[in-house]
Amino acid sequence: MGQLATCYLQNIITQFSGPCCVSSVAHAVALQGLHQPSRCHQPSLYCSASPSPLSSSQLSQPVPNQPLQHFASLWKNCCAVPNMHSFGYRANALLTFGITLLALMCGMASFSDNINSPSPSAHVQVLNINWFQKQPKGNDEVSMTMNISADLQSLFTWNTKQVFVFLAAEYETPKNSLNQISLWDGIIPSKEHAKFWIHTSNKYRFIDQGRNLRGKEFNLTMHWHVMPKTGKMSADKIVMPGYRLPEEYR
Amino acid sequence: MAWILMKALTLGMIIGSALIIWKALMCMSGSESPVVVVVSGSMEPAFKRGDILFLYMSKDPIRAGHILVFNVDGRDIPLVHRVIEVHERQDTGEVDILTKGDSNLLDDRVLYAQDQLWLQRHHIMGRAIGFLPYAGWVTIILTEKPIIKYVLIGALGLLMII
Repeated sequence: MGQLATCYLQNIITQFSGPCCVSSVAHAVALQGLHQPSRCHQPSLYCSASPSPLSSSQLSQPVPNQPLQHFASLWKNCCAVPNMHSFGYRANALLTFGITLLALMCGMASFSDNINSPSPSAHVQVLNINWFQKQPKGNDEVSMTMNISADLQSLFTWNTKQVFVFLAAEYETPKNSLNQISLWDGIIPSKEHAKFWIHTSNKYRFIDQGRNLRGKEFNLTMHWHVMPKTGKMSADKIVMPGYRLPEEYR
Repeated sequence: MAWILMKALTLGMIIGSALIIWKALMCMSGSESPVVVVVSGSMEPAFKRGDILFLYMSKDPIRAGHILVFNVDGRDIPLVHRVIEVHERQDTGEVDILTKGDSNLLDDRVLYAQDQLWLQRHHIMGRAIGFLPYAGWVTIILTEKPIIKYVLIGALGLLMII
């Protein structure tokens, strides 16, 4: 009866004292010093090895004088924790395991996106330059109407939440090696909406840093950012060169 | 007496290893805050309130479409918005950046400091490269209802003592 109680306490303490593999080994070492038959097998979620049963058939002896055994017996006698902690430890272990598993599944879902090989297409036609003026502060501004058509259906996988697509005007000036100005953007929530054709003027103002836009050649680049349901985001673009602004203000 | 020391040691080890992991993440991502929680709804439907974003900061050029986490002078929490305009200088490689939240109607000039028209590289904490949905709700709840934080710390302290 006394041995059963001791065994029960030992199991509680082994559970409570943190990384269980380390404590089990330490516990087995401590047990060997005490010459106790170890009938306490404690299977756990993280340990591959449980403390191996000792072959000694001796009954428990009074506490010897060595410090390790003294400490072990102190631990055993002083740490009588109530049962509620064992439930708490199990719940904690289960929760951690569940979260790790979920994170792994998210990682695998994200990895499956690499298998997809997309083949998108896009075309933009500038119909009209609405106006092209110099602002009071001295910067050029232009407004244009465009037809934008694209087929981005091949970008969607089962792990895709949405695709953020935007059209940017890109050009170079003497002061700036690169200027990128977003003219229009949209959110494609699903594969059905990914093949589209729209007629629109620029959603965002096309304003230069300076007065460099007269006769400027620029590229219209269709960028897209694939937003997954979980995991790594990816982005790509199609560059459409060959657009040109008028030589004079209108 | 000995078991108090043991428990204190275990606690110290847990805190120490958490700190090591956090610092290692900071080193790997190059950012002072490698993981942030989205607190506003200005990037919906891409990022909802409570999502966690993984940041990465490198010397790579910043381009339109990147999602940046940046600080604005005078604001204590950083913002997570998308770049819509980039102007990169020929000689120095410095950039002027304009951002906008996906679900906002206006660009972020209303949120920048007085007379500030552009963001520069030194405002930027990092670029979002991946995310985990819903994982940040714990942080939001702890921040917005601090009483739960005190209750949690109190309960943990009690468990240590009992």
